[in-house]
Amino acid sequence: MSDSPVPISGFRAETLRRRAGFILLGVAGALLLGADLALGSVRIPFSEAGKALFGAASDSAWNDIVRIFRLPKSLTAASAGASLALAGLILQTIFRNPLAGPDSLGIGAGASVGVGVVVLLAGGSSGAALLSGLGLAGWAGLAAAAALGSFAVLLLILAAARRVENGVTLLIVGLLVGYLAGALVSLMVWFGSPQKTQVFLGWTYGSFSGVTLERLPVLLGALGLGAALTGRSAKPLDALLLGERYAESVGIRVKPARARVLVAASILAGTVTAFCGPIAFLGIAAPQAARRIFRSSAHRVLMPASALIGAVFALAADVVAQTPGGGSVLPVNPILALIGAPIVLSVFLRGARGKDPA
Amino acid sequence: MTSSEALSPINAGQGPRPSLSDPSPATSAPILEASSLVAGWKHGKTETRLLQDVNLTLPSGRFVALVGPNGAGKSTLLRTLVGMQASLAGTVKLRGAPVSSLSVEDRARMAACVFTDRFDSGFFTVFDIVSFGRYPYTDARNRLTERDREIVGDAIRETGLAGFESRRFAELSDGEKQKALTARAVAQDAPLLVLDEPTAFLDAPARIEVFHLASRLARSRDKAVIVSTHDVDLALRHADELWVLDRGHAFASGAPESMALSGALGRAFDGPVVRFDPATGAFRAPGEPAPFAVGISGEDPVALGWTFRLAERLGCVIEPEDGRYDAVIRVIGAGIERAWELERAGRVTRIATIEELSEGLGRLVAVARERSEPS
Repeated sequence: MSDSPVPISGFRAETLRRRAGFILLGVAGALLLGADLALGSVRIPFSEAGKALFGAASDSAWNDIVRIFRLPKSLTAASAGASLALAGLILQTIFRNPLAGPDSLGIGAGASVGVGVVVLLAGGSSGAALLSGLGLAGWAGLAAAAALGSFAVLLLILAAARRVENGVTLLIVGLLVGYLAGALVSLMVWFGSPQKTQVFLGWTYGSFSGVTLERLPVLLGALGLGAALTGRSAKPLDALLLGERYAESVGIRVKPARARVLVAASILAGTVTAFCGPIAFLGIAAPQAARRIFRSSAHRVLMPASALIGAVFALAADVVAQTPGGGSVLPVNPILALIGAPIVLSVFLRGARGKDPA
Repeated sequence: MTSSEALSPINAGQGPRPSLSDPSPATSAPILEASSLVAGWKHGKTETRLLQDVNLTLPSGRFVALVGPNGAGKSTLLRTLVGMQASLAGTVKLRGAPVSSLSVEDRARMAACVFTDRFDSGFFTVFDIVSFGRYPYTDARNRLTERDREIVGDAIRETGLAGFESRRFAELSDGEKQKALTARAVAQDAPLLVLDEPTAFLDAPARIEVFHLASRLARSRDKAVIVSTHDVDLALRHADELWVLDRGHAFASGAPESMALSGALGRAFDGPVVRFDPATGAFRAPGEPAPFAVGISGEDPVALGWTFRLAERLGCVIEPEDGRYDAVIRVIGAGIERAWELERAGRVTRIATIEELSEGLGRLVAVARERSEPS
């Protein structure tokens, strides 16, 4: 780092780094999106996949495959990745814990309870019809139930966070809340009908392909709402990094600001969980990667960076999921764990040694 | 007075404040005023009244130190004064406006605080941390204007951190961190500056620097500065005024010297072992004096002073009124030539160093203590 008394050069280097980072991530995202559209049980050439988006591919079947099946899946993956990353960023800031995330704090488990209540307990119709036959209003209801479940868990964790100072203790609390939610889900599965249970268990594997073109607006609408709420909170979130007292002393109304971003995180994580199942690691790893790549702690940088990285991770996982070819597709969660677990582990080890800001 | 009038001069920035050249009615009000203040907590219907009937006034340009033993209520008083904790009764006014009527944003423009809270500063540089002070003034996207950058730069220079702008905050020493956090509060450009135990984690020179800085900010920027501290001796040397809270939560205020002379500091701190010594302005654990009286004489005042301290540390009775000495110590010469003479029972021993004096006198005191003890 230069020791020049005027930090202008430092600012310039930082701006350059940021621009380069966003451009590279954008290019990576676009390439992965292309690959995601081209790969699958039917291989479509890269150039044709692009044309197919506008209905101009040389084979009309390719048009349908790309537009009806693959585009919704790719958009779902990208937006789910971005949303989980934003939710993770919020949770890491609010709980001042680099290892906080939708899954590590048991928020995904809370969403599962919400989904479980809707799928397993509600309604008299058969389980098979439930998820696939759910109308748009039904999906919105499912998303709302998942968001509510997430928010309930968040409130629990927040209450616990007031009593425990230690970050690792908080994660243990998250783990226990996750077990608690898991137990509720298990009980519901036990009492649910076999068909319903099968549908529910399929959901728990995590997948980006369950969202059809018609349901996509519901997903994107909910995520857009969550992202908008988050985007407006960059300033208070920065202040909250210094702790609640400093935030209040610079004029932030801490309670409403915190409530707003936690509602946003619940909507983001809950909706993604409702539509795609519990997706692991993305929420913790993406904000961490954003901090490393952009060497920044400012939310106006970290928010777009985390969202972009989350989208890239999710698209990459979805591309890797297609690699076996021949109609077989890998589940997304193990692939994400393969990317995410090393990142989280390195954060944990660095934190343990007290080196490098996380 | 309306609160908007009260807030008008805040954006004046650094340099002499309007109150110096143009005393308008808004600025002639004291920065901080509390009357019949009761501070404490309220849990449901039960009130815990920690501090009762506190009355204080703090004009601009004055540096006060708030001292008192742990648990006396220093932090509670500070939080209540800046409006972060509601008072149970009485009023607190910031520039004439009741603090309870001010919004969080208004309060941020009136009072800037430095807490002991630790936080993970991540990749934030010193410049980033100090620019947190501009939060009450920036837009929703928190962009700094040229003016904001100037104010942040000024605050960094003022606190002696010029050249540290692009250093990571996390890499600073504790003393430098304290300066950066103080710079952050300075950049907040509020007439009242509150530092809660800023010397807590610092080494001796850094502690003194904090007091020096606080006193300089009061003068150069005409701020009202409150520093709560356990460093009573430093507070006595640097503060314009002392606020003293004792274990019974009683509040006293006045010139530092007056707090020492009136016994307010003694009342606040004296315990069964440690006592505040008004003569030296320091805390001491005198212990049982040894039955060994010494007289001390000499020319060099510094050497004389340290010889007194030596005798005192060993527990000797110094210069008793009856003039009956068990030994007499004379400091002779100065510099390289300096030596001590110890006269006991008519015999004079010349001693070259103060270490040897310490050993010799120590032995005599020990023997005297042993003899006087009932066997």
